Amino acid sequence: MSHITTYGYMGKICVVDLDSGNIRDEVLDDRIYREYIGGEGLGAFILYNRQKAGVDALGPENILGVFSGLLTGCGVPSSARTTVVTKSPLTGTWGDSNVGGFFGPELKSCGYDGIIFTGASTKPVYLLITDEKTELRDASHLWGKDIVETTQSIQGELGGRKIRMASIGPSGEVVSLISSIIADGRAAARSGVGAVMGSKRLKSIVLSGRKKVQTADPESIKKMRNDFIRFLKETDYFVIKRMREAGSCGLVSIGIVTGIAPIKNWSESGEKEFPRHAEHDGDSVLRYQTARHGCAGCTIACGGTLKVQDGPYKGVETRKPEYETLVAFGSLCLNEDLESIFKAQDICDRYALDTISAGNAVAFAIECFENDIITEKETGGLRLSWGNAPAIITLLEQLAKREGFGAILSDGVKKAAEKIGRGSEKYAMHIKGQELPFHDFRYEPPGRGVAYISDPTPARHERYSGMQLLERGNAIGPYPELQAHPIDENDEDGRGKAYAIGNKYWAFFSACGLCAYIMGASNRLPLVDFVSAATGWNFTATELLTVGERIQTLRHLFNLREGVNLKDFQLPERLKSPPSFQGPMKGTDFNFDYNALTRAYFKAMAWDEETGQPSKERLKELGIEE
Amino acid sequence: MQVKVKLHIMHDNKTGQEERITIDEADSVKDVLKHLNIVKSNDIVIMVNGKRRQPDFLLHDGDEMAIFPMLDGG
Repeated sequence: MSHITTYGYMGKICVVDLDSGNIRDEVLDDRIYREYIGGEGLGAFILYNRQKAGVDALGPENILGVFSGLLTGCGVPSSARTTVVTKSPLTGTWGDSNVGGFFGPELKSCGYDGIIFTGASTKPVYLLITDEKTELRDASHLWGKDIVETTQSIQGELGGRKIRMASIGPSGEVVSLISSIIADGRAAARSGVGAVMGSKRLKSIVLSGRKKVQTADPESIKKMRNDFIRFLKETDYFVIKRMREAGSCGLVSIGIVTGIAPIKNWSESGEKEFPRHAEHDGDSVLRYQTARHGCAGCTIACGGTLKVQDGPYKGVETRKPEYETLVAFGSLCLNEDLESIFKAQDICDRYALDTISAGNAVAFAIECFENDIITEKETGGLRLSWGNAPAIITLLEQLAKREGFGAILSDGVKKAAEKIGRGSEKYAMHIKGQELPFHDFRYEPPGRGVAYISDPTPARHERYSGMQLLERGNAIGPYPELQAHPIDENDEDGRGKAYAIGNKYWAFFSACGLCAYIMGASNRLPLVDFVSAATGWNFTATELLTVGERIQTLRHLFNLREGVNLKDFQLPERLKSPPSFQGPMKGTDFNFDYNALTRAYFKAMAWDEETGQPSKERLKELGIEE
Repeated sequence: MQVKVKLHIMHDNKTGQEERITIDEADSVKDVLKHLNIVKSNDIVIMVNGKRRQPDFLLHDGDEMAIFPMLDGG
């Protein structure tokens, strides 16, 4: 099929068969772009249509896909997110993970909207895509190297050429189920995507292109971009302001004081339990910052690099930790030593591990140790007491390398508890195998808890991003279809409807490559008009919601086809009731039936409330064939 | 009745400031919010004496109240 110039997207993907080494381009029909957009949407379409149900997530039949967003490279602010899709080896469900930086724009500069990998190589390889050629190269010499060494080595091989790359570290090579993919210093961390890349013996994807994305109406994009950026710079909206000033590390103190950030492996909350939280908050972290970074086309620039000048971690040079990482190795482990958290960040980024899962795994091990479920005999003499920073670092290094006692944690807390037994499961904080992010939903309106158990990728905080706006009474976008309606406190159906609209919006927003950190400004984001101006489509907010529903439904259908039992998506026992400890929530009456609210959400999505099966009529309307 | 209110949200160009305010005719969190002209309570976190409270919580003389933004993303 010949392809005429497309606007917004490049019109083709790169298909790499790692069994044969064969690489080919595949043109996708324009209709597919309009129906699935990009990112997780295109990824869901391709995996659902090309992958058999029931494949081994670590076997050659599991497809690994990397997709840029529809608006990536189109001049739209904060639109550089790339989504990795695969069947998750951590949960056995639909898996996706999202990363910022420059990889997505570079993918489009290479002429592709995505790359899919099938099969598995017999020896380590990396994929190189340039304007001149696309080839698989030997990566035997890179196997065992960490991310910093790998980046330097490949950059050396390619001379002074500007490259962007996504790689696994040694943790992905040893197929740790909580390993990540690091792209330009940021992580696609969740769902165990690093393990899938490792199982295929694919070390890196290296890009260097000079193609430009054509848009239908660049003048309109420019005007809307300038207006939106002005708003981002001037807004008093707290989270965006804090992101600009400090990055998400600037949210730690508020998280601790209000109880949202968990303490001591989710057994405590509040500043009395972690009084020195300000030492882990924005200003304290910024004292170490040596440079500030933003992703392509982002004016918020939440990222940064920092360096430790003295003490036991002298010389550690790593990226500025996010809120999640500071909680993971800070309050969650009752660890007050900020510099040790920088060291933990450095280990996670060099070995390529998910900091959320790794922090939960370390805290789990400490609680097992403190309760005599494991002893120094098992840990090889490591004294895993709360707040013991040197022991936390040693354990994390073992976990990263799958060595020593730490190896028991390398596949996450669920697998670790199965191996340890002796009642350790009650300390394993996960939903269907995926460790919880550090937003205790019991301290918020109930939607976040519903998002944790209802999304096809369980235990994911960003999947609440759309729901939260409507649940808190805020419009989601500057269009009549996206306005908030008051929700009565006891109106489950009303909440379910708001969650459905919120999730449809989020699935669309994510497929465009947009960043969650601008969601707080989405009421000022003319998303429908950006899509029309980028593509030349006459797009509407109604179509936006239909496309979002289609993407969300297909991710969900992937799980149903896999035979995933939705009843397994359960909150950990420890979090099923209101906190019993003396934290900020003591004496309050937040107590929601998250399963009932999930059923209300299913109903609003036209999915059966018990089985989750979408109605045949709705599937037909969405154009999805089972 | 006198309550101490600390604002951790941007409000009237003030943030993180401690304000001692006296309210005679009011006795619940809702009344304080009204006094501060905060019309929406579903995207803020209200704490009284270190505990999370809802807008209808009844206040006592000398109570310390703090208002935080609800966190997004992460």
